[in-house]
Amino acid sequence: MAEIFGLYDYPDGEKLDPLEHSKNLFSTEADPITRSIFRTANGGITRQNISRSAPDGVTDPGPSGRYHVGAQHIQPRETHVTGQEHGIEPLDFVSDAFGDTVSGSTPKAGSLLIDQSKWYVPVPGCSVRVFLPKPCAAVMFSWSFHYSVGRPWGMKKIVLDDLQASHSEPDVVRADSPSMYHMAYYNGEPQSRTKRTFPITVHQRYMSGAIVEDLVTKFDHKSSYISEARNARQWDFHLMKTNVPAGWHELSARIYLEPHAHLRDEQVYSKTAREGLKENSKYVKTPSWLRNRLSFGIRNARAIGFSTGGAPIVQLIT
Amino acid sequence: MSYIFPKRVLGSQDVLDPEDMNADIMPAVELLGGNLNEHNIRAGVCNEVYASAEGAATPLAPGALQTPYYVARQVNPSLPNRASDAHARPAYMGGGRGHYAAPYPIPMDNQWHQIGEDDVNGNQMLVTFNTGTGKLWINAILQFFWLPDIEPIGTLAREVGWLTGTDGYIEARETDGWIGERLGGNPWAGGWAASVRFAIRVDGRVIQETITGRTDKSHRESSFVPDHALFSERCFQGQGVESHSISPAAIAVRLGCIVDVGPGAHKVELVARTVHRDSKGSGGDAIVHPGLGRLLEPVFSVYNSQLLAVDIPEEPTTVADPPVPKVKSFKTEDDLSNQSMYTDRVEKIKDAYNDISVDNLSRGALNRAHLPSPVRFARSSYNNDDVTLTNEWMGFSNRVTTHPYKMPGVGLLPWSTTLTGADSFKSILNCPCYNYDPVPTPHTYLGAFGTQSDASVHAGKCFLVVMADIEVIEIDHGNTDNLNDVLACFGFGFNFVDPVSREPIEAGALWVPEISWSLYNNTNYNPAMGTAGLYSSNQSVPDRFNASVMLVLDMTDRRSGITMGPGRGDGGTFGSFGGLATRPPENNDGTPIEIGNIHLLGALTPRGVDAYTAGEISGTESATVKIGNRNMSVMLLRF
Repeated sequence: MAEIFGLYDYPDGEKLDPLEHSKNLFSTEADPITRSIFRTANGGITRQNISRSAPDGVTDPGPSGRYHVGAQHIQPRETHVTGQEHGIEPLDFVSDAFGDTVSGSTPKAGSLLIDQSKWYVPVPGCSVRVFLPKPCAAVMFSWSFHYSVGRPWGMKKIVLDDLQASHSEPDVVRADSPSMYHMAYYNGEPQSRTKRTFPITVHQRYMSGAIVEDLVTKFDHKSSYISEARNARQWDFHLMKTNVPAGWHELSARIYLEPHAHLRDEQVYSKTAREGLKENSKYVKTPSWLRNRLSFGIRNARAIGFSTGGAPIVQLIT
Repeated sequence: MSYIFPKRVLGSQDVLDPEDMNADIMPAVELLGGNLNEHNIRAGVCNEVYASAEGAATPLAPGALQTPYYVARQVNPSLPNRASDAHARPAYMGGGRGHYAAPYPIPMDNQWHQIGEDDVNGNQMLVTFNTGTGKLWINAILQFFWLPDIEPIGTLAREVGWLTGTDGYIEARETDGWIGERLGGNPWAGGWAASVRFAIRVDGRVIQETITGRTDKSHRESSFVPDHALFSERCFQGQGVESHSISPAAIAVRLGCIVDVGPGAHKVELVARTVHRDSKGSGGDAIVHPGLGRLLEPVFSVYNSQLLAVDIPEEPTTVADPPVPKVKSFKTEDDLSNQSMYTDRVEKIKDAYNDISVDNLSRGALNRAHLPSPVRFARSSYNNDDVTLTNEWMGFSNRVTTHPYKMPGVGLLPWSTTLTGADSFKSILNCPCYNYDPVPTPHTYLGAFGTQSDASVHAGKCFLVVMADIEVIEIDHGNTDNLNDVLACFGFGFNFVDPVSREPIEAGALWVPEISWSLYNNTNYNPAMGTAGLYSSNQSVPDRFNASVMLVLDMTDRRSGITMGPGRGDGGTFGSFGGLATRPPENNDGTPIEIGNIHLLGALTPRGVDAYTAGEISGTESATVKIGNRNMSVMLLRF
């Protein structure tokens, strides 16, 4: 009980009792706690002490008025912790910039998981790190980015022997477009729920009619088609964590671009951009690379932590 | 000042000195002069968690923890319910069936505009309020549609479709089309993009990091050029051209930020702009309106939209004079008596400590130990299994306003079944809303708290924030002729439990607020396919994008708040959404309804061709949407 009552009232005509006077002020005994002013003041003030009504003659201004605990009574950043980062400048990720791949058919590092994590590269301006001085009931991370993708549909490799055998539709081996993922990492741990694949935006139409000119096999090639602009979007994600311990917490949006495919045996046919402007221009077989490009526009990452509130704490009570 | 300690212990032989007597009592008085701080106050003083043990919690003034400011424009995109629905055409330019606001066409002047700025009914995407120093946590979402022209195409009453023909040209259609067919951005033309941007504007300043675009328009305009035009010279554009803004014809865009604000009045807006497009047409170069003989004039319209700004105070400016008991200090020769010691001094101090005004507290006297958490409930769900939705379309319609929920399998009304049936929406993720707040009652459901007629009781004021992200792998129309005529739709569905029996109310039925719908068209149809050769069979390329959904509900007073028209928000603390008939079910006696679960729902519009040629829904449309990873979170926040 925090209410102070039963005080020694210094009756007239009696000898002053020093012990009772002291108990009024700062008694540390268990029972007289209810009559100790100092003990109440030193951390003993409870909701029973705090008035919920206006004094006589004063009109209570209502729930927004001065007789409720207001924002001014709350320490700043005690109930919420926030953080935000952003990036403005255009940013490109290109698959052949992700060079640390494999040695032969074996991953360089021992752990495939470690390798994968290494390949997920944070997007500058799309990560946020906040320090929680106390545990939080929940932390809501959000991040968003505008992007466009230059990602080719996989190409098909012609088996030259088949062509020379004049197969009407040669057997082909397809090289799929290299993988391209988004996934967020929370405190270094991948969050699979946030994994997304980006669309393929560079499409090829079929080829027909092998023609040999100057000892080079060329093919008539139909339309190509690019849907990069039509797939330009903004993605907004969220990740909520609950019962979050104190300390640093980090959310980073990361990108995985599979290293580009290099078709070294010169069985894929492509042509230069300049030639591409010509109607019915021909493809020349040449070594080819399939590369992904992911271009970021404006992006940001934000975090807001909501405190756990009134867990009991030990307070000094005189 | 915080702790106070006795300077001496009065003994029976001590001389009574006025200074010592003052030291006995005056520190306690001085504390009351606005100096009580975190050390003086017991933990949990404002936390109702401890209310049962020590009486009711000290009330918090509204806004002490946080204050939400929320506005919504509910504009149903008028997706047709059935082929016979007379209102099947999209509600563009204010002529449709938008519930409480008309679609907002973004002006084509490349300037930032507040969404709904010209709405005479107060449906602007705008919130204004006063704050001290603090932060604003802002989240917004909007539904965007690109319609190919401001005028219907066709001459007869039923020739008003927007269909993109098989040759890549807009042509008249013999019957009404679905909205999906009326979208702009002819995919046959290659890289057509809407090129619109959205952002949050605070006090007139566009928050740059929220802009949904790229600062450098020409960045990444690659020299990689496709070789042949395909129905339009637009295909000569290389990679990256016009990829600087929001492009799809149907997309929901969610955005947010955290900004610092100073004391004073503030204005938060959701704004939109168009960006210069090389072609002013809608679906491709040289595509003309068959009736008007001019290039198509695209309309970029915003439909459903929500804006939430949460004020988080940090350095409030409010100050007040604390009531301090008038206690005189002792002077030499003062008498010691019941009057002088007790009545005039000790009793006054006692009374003051038994009735402390909040003004006795110092600024920032309370820390988290004294307060309830701003979060009353928080839970996430996620699933990484693929799921494919096949539509057997019963449609979604405004008819939900007259039939907010139905038993499963009854009739053809929308929302009639959701969990196990084949109609409209299907649950793709479920977030149980059982309260784990440390209250004495275990397994408490997420309550609605009913009304708050007693203004002095503030504990129940809460608002619900629900978010979801969905990986859309592919929207497949299942055929080769139609292009972007299929829409994937996501939304939230609520089911409710009786607060006494805990049994579901209207078992199997969900309340699906329309404002939560997010719709997306398939953007990656590839017309450059061939039937043979090297690059055949790559016609239907997975769309692969992230879909976002958001919903905000005022959980304090859902029964009496006015949610439509100029008076929206009256009766509720911050305007709710929807309308009377789209409210969740409620008990007749006013007993609060409690939420049992919140479902993330997925649905798919049909192709429409079969439906219209047959005059009715065939029920066997083959379109599908494949969904991958998805994640949803529910937060119930106090204010």
